[in-house]
Amino acid sequence: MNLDFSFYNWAIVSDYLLKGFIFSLKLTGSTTVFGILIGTLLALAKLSKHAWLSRPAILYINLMRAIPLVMLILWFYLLVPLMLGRPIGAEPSAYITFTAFEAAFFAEIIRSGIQALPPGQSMAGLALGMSPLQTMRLIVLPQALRHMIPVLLTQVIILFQDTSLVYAIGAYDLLKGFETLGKNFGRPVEAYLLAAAVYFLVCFLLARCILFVKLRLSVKGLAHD
Amino acid sequence: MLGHFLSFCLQLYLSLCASRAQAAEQPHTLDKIKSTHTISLGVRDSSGALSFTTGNGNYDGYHVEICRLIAADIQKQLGLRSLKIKYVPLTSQNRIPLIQNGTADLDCGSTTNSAARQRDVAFANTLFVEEVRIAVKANSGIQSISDLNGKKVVSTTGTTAVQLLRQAGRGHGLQFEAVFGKDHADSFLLLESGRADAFVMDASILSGNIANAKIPSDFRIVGDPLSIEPIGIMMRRDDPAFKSAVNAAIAGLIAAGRMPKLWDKWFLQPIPPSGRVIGLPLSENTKAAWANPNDKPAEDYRGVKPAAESAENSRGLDWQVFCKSTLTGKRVDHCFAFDQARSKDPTYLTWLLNAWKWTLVVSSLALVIALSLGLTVGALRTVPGIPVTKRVLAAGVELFRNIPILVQVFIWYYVLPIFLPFLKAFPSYIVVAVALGLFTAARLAEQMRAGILALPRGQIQAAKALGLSTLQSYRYVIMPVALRIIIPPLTSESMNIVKNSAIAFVVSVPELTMFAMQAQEETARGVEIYAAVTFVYALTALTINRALGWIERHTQIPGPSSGNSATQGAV
Amino acid sequence: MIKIQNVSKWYGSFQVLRHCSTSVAKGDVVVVCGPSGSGKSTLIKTINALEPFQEGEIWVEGTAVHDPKTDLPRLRARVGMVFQNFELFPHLSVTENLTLAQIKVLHRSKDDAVRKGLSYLERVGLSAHKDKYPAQLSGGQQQRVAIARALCMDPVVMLFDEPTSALDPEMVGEVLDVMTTLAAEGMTMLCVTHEMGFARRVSNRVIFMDQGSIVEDCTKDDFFGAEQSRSPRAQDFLAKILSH
Repeated sequence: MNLDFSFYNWAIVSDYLLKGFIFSLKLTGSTTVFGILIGTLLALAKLSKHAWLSRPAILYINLMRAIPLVMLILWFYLLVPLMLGRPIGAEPSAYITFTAFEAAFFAEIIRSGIQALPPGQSMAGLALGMSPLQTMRLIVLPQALRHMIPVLLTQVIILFQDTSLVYAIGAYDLLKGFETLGKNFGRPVEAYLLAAAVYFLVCFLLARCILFVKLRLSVKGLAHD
Repeated sequence: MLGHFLSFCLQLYLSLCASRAQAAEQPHTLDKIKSTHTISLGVRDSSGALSFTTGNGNYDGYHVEICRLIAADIQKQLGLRSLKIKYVPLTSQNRIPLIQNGTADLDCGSTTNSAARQRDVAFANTLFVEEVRIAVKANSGIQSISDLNGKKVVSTTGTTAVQLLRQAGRGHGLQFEAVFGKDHADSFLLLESGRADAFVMDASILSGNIANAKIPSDFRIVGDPLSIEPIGIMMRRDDPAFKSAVNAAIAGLIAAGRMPKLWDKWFLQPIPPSGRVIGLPLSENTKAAWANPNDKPAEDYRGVKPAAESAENSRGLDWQVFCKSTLTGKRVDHCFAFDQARSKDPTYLTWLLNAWKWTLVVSSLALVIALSLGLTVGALRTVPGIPVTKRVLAAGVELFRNIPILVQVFIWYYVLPIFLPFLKAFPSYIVVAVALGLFTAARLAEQMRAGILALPRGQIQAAKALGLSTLQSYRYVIMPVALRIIIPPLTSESMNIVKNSAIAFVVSVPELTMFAMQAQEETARGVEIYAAVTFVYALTALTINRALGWIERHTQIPGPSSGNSATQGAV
Repeated sequence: MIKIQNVSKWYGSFQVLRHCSTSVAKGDVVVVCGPSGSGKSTLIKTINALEPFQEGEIWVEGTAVHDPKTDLPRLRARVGMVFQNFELFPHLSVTENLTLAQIKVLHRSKDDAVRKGLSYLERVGLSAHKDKYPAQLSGGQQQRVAIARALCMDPVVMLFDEPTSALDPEMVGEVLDVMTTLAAEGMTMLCVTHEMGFARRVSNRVIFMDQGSIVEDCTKDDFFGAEQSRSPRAQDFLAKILSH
């Protein structure tokens, strides 16, 4: 079987692929921003001394980490509209599901970042007369987040790869673009190969960025290792 | 944890009961169209000539064009100055819920009008009658269904053909291995790549895929129709005003003599995007449907009376669904069926447990591969010397962790066998386990490497200073500590393997996610099916979590500052 | 017994050792001192090739350390080393720490190894702790176990790399006591240390290093004797270290 890539041209890229690529990027970007925001709150709740804060956070994080993202996507997309009594499109539900799911993962990363900080740091903050909240906001979080940047970015790469799972609800992402192209032109094999190449390129470049960030941080003496 | 989960389920149940009542009070579709000046047409990305994308969010096809004509007619009926058409892409798995909840007003794809579905949705008068037939390779020698004994037969997950195939197999006393593609194109690829001997599906889809193949003459459609099925434009149930508006529009099309022209345009002439020809002649059954418009379900074509189902079953939650037979859809008195006699009529519960088994098989195989390979590669990458080996390993790690697992599975399954034909001999669960194992190994290797690099350098020097060789210092000093350090990331990667095994369904491993999609389609009991599957996944992942937690506790290095700081010496 | 000839070492373009030469005879107790960053730890780690070097030659009882063909594990098994941070293996009990290399490197039977290990453990006064794990011991105890671990290999020479600088002050004495006994028994020792009292009491030679070079290499008496016998840099260092 010979491979035939001749049907690819710029018009096809813009017709089939660009839209999917942009959606994948948008989904990754918004999930990162909101996932880290909510994840930070979840991490703080989990570390809280108050059981009414930590229990639900722990339950939520464990549940999200225990079920496949595909199942969560399906649940949300098919069943939440039944509960709400009104429809919800594929794209909004992808945004919401991904944020809800990834927040649990970001929360775990941030929690371990906070806990990895020497306890002396928060004691020093408290000793200077800061409130626990101030200590967290001004002393602990800025350091923990900086330590966590490489791990957080690694999670973003995983997230970008996971966006391919929205095929389950028919949203049009990058992989769907390649698949549709492959089907309607009868060249699925070539389409999958190109998809692999594009995902590899994007993720590899992202990984290089992480290495660069790590290097910069270690120069400043901020990286963990 | 379990208690929390159950109470969560209970709450979900209660809120669902409340909301089903609400759902019934959705606004009438015509009112919604009037107030929003928008009609949502459910479309498919590649359902033969019936519905497909032409790129850039545009859709076309026989049913899509008919839907647009219906929309134009409804615009006239409602006296609207403008009507926006919105396309909602559907899949076989989600089309019914999305029509029910109003995400799409009309399904302009390729949905079989069946009595079971008529309990959940309504159908417009039939304009296309499909015949379920068998596509084979022209040189295979298969002439009819009786030649399928001992062969591999593919159909598409979430279609009625799957159930039909099960029933036909029993009716003809045939033993064949049923495999499933995640959509028609994948099913056809299974036939094309030799992983299946026959593809059982709607004739229009078969001829569409054949026309699209690289060498169309390699394939043939053979045998009598397994079933004759009306393919309908689907819409919400309990909205008679909308239904009669749609049917009026259809009557108009028939009266104006538009139908033969539409047929010719989509099934006999070249169609976009690549100018292929489907070549499907107009059948007598379709002609009859035009002459006498009706919305009769497939059962009427077969002369079978649909089983009357008690009304109470259609509302609220019904966990009895798991005691229903997967062959007849009727309740049986045995929910569990593991003995020989009963396993001929398996229930959905049996199927669920079987699916769980497949999830566990794929996950544990993948875990073994990931652990042995990932830990070795990760450790090797920290060994001094061997620069070439390390470069090769680093490249491998980058390759396997930077491509989504879904794409990797496709490549292992569909692409690599073209170049390495012996790969076809491996069953698909092995292929997925290998793909998943390598994908996870790449991640574990990085964790392992980081774990070793996190050890104080003095440890390695101390081992060396005692005269231990490199191999010995890894075996007795570095690995024991590094393995303890990486137990937490190992835990989440192991849980990830179970979760990621969900992608096995795309290459027809009958695991939990495939069960969820197919059973949801067959029983229309999405909440019950999904809840059960989610519960089983959560149970599996949490068991792994607990097991590794136990290992972590029991391998903890004694001492007041155990774990983390013990490994850092007295720094 | 140990001969270091013209050894130089670079980290990239930064030179950490400059033409270092010295020799150690059997039974010598040599203290290596100098300001931090002077290369003293690096120098003693070149002796068992934990630190590779680019120029020069080192001989340990006739074995050429600089020769790439040398069997390094065999060499290292004969050179005992004690680290600043003890470097006991945290996942192994005290006994296992003492016997691991005896069994795996010297191929002693387990019984022999345990017997030997326990006898050295007794000599450092820690017999009661044989089943504990390193993290359950104090710093001073850990360092004494580390010394016992090195002794179990029957080394021809012991290298000490700042063995007391990670210890709380009250634990320094117990470690120095063990080292003093060892010296009295005739063990050949090279110690990087800031403990000038130990140097004065126990050593017979002092090497003073600064900026990668050996500046002074003389007898204890010369080093701690009259001011004019020392270089200005050594004088300066001693003044700082002894002023409090």
